[in-house]
Amino acid sequence: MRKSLRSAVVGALALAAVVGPSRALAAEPAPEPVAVTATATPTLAHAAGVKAAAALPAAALAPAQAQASGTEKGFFKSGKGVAVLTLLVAAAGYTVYSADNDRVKSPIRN
Amino acid sequence: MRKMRTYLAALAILAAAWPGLAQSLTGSIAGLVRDEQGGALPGATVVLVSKTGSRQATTDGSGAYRFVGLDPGSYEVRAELSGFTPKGRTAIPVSIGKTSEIDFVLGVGQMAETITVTGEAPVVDTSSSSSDQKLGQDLLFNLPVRPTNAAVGLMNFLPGINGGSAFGGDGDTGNALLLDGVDTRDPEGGSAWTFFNFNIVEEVQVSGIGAPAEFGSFTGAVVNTVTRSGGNRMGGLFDVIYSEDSLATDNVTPAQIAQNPSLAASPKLNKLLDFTGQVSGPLVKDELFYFLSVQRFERDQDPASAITRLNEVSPRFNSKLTWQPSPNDTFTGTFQLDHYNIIGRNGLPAADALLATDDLTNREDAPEMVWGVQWRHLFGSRTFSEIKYNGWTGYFDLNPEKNVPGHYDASTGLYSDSQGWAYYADRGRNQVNASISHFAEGWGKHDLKFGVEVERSKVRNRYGYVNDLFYYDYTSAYSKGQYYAYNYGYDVEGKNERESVYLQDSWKVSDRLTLNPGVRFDWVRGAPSGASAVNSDEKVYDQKNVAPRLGFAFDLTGDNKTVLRGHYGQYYEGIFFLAYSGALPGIEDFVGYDTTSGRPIEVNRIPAVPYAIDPDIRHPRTDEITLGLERAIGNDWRFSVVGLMREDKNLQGSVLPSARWEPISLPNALTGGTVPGYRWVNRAASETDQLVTNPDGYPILAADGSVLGRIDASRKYRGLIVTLEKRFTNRWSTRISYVASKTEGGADNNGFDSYGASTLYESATRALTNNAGRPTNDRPHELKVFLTYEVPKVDVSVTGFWRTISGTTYAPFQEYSSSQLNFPFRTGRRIFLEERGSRRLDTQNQLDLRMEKIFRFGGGTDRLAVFADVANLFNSSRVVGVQTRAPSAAIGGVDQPIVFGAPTAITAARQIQLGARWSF
Repeated sequence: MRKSLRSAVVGALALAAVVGPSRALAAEPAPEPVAVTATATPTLAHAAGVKAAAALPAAALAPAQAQASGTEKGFFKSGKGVAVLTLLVAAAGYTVYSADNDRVKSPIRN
Repeated sequence: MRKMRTYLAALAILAAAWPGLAQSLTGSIAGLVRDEQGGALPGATVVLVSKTGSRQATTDGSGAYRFVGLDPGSYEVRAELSGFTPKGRTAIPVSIGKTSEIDFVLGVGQMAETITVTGEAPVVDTSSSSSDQKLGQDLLFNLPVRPTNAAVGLMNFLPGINGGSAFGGDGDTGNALLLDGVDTRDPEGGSAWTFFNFNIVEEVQVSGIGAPAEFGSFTGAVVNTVTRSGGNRMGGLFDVIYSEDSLATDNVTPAQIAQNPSLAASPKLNKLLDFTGQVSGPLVKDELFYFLSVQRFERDQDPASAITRLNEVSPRFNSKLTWQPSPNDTFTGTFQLDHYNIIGRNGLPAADALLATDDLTNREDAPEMVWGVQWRHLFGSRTFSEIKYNGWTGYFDLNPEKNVPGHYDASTGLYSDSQGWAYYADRGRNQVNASISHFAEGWGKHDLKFGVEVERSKVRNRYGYVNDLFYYDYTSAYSKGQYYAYNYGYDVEGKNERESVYLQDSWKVSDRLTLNPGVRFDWVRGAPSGASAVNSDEKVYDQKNVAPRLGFAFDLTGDNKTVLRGHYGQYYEGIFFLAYSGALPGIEDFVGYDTTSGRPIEVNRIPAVPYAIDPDIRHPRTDEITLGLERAIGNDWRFSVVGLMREDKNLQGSVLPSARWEPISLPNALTGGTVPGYRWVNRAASETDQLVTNPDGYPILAADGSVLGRIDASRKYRGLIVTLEKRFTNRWSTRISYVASKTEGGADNNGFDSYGASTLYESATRALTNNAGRPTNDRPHELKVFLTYEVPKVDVSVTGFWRTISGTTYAPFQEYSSSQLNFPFRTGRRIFLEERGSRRLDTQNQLDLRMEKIFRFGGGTDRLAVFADVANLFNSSRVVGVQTRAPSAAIGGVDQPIVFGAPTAITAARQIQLGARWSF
């Protein structure tokens, strides 16, 4: 029983690791790429007014952050969110199972 | 009691005097905003963008701005002023205790549709006199063959640190291991206690060279590990690494097997399965963030020694909640739950560990909980404070794999049947750190920091032999079996107390010169508790230590590109239970039995008299002088050279003040000649007079009171560290470091050699004969090279980690009998036949490799990395341990004696680890 459960969980993890991201890719609308990176060199321009940037600088200089933050509420309902939840629950479930079943029990502890 | 009231009153005054107290684990961004003619631009708006939102500052009359209290990470800053074209900078790295100087030059123009953004990154801090190293996300994500224990393993990737010994300091125990700013070490002796998931690490900063006053309780290095946290952006990481024995290659040579048949099976991982799942994001945008992580780590291996099975399973759960109720306040709460389980842990003392077989191992059960809360408050752009509380509780129990009495054959060095003992260690630690940082102007510019730390930790150790007996088998004299057995045990409990106060300044005397004066005061105490407490207020160990620090940083070229640094500092070790545990009650008598008849008959008894602690004892510390130069070359390269001198002072140990000794000659089994020894001539009259002191220079006396010699318990380190780094641009990055060093003295640096009661210096022969030399972790030459290259078109990155490191030292020892030296304990009868560290293992030349293919999707925010790590690419069969007992020793199951110098451990064989990581 223990072995079959372990195999099932490992199998699910492996499957999710392979399939999950692909499904997430299909389900999640692709955000715009980040225009500025650490390797960028001089004078890249962002289309953002200075006044607007001062009021909401994240939108001006961190488009990825700002964009992502705008979609958080629906994240776990999206395909990617479901994949994340599935993986996390599987990982946590197996780890909890392991914490109990793989323990080296010291005879002086309860 | 009166002292306690005084102390509490002092703390209350301090607390009232400072509006908020916090210890900094943050960095800053500061700079000037000027026009194209170099004139200051006061009133300019400067905006800082981080993953949790944004902050805004206005330049002062000199055009200066400053953002303080920033978590390590990457930031973006922009500057703007009406009538000028705004500018911005991205990817500005912020590290612990560092100020990133970012200046802006604004040209006259429209402030409308666009801003100019550059990615140039500052790489030199010209205001700090400390020379730190860090492992950021760029290196952590590319490390080939990640260490199984992130708490201590990561620092070995950095220059000057090998086997946990930092700059000649004591291996592992000399390093302060901070998790989110708070020390999480074992309060018994300073080794790592909290083992955490590699994947929760945001950044590791290793300080110690020229460390400012806020860092204390170490004599090696400070390993500052900052963990990840949530932000506005939804984040996740799923990571799996797997390997098995079919992915390994045999590496043991026939010649090695001929010398030691127990090494026939190559050391490899039978199975490795390590997975992590993480998710983080906002609960409330710009205000409340979470981070969750779960890991299960399992490793089953055939270790490098005669032991054939070592199995570890560690489930670990981490969480962090970050709350920003206002732009000036950040509250963080963390929690970790983990359970470390080991089957096959080596049960022999360190000197004999490589003689152990599977029967001589134990099983470890080690759960723990770690928690912490912190509050950071900004008082405008010049002042901020932090208060942290962190604690953990846990235990580790070692029970023998075979629950039968153990045997040791003094004639052959053979251990058999079982390790023969059980050990139960209960621990707890609570610590509050508070500090306030303030930027002030007057006689230059000052970055002042004041902090308070309070530690309360507890230790309980229980030890006992199976069936209350451990057997000595003198087969050379008693061929039918053992004639002797002994028993003792202990149940000792104590509590450590520490209060620390520090004040430091980063005083910018001019645009180019910064002075870094500081002072730290540590009051450390040790007292019995629980079953050991006779009087709960009794302090058996009480030390007040003042540690001055003074450094400078000079911007040689005046453009923030080249800095000359120098520093002098004293660094006191933390408070450890080992410093005073020998003075506590709870230790049983040492009882010897004659077992020739089959039934133990008591023949001798050494009463368990607690050690006295020298009232003039001084706390261990290291004195350090450094001088270094750091230079930014272009936008991407950094070159640094640091000279370092350290001298460990006040190392502790136990002596026998009333003992008198007679010089004798002992046979040398290695050469056939003799080696000088000393026989205890008044043992009965002096064996209960035991003192824990600073033994360096302590006299060993003859029967007539004349001085036979003085103990050398010193340790010195000299090092030159050269580093060349290139950040990741044009598809490649590198870090190359070379360290030339020399460590010498009469104290080893391989763990637990600086503290408390031991028999190392009690035995005159051990203390005086060949004691001084090169400690185990003396590494004259060390070359470490990281190189990452991203292959064009296929987007496969290749990272190599090459190291060439001088091998550890060793020296032959011979074990003499109690009748020869009249000394009862084995460790004091093991005498070096040559000076300490006279021989050295082969130089380590090893390359580990990672090949990684990254698939980007989700518009570039998602990365699926598939990677293969190859450990020991060239399949080296380097000997990493030899048999040091002369002329030979025996290993269970092996018929032939293992002669001195024969291999007892081989480096792990070439093995491939496969992994995948999805992150976004």
